[in-house]
Amino acid sequence: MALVSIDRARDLLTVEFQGLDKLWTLKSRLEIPLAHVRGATHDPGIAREPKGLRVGGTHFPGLITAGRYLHKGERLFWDVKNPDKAVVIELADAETYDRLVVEVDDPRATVALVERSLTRD
Amino acid sequence: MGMGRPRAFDTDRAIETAATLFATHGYEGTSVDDLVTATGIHRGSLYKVFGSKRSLHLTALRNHLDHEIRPTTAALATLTDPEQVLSTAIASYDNGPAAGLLLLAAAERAPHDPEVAALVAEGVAALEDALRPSHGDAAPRLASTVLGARLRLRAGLPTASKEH
Repeated sequence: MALVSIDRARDLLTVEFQGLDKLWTLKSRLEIPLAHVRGATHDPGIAREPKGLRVGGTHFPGLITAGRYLHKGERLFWDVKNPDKAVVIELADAETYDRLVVEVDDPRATVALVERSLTRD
Repeated sequence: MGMGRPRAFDTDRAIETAATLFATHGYEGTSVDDLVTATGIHRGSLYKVFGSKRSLHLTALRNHLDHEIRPTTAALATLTDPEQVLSTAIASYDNGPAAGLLLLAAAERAPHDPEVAALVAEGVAALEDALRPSHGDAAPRLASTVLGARLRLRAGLPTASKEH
């Protein structure tokens, strides 16, 4: 499970990994400048997609997908055990990852939080 | 969009397909799985191009305003017979391949999403402006009549536009 929040003072989106997820993902938190965040979507179906190559982290198929993956030239960061609560956060080209796929407690609230914090051109 | 890899799909067609899905099933009722299946576009490409489901919905609604609502209201504004304007508006407003997209967005998304609310307001203002030449100050009230009649049509109920 991840906790997604917005740090307005520093214009950052932060993702904190809770409990053992720190171990599975090999990360305790990610910080992304809001300007590099393109959107958030509740997407349970993404868990059925091919994950690609694991670069660092953990993959027990059907149980947990966590850490860094390379799929069709795209760099994804996963932290999902329960696909029903998977949220996709799409990032701009300049970021280390193209896409974060994280499980959150309340997908609807997380999507609304992220989308509200974005200014669209 | 970096990388320089050509897109293997037609973005405009994807937006039209998405608009039809949103208009048929609503925003919440349309999953990313539905969008992937109907457009035939890989999930990764959908995210790469549109950023999010919300962004795709906003793009589809913008597109519907520009290519469906605007041409319809422009044509309405050229008619002079008040009864004909009203009946044509009821038959053609928020119609086309994604018929009802504006109406559904107004009911489902506008209360929660200021950007959707602004697009809906734009579409309703266009209708009012189109009714003004023939109906003057009654245009806002008749715009409400048109929206109500479109809702009745969607629900399969008869409209009563000829009765007043």
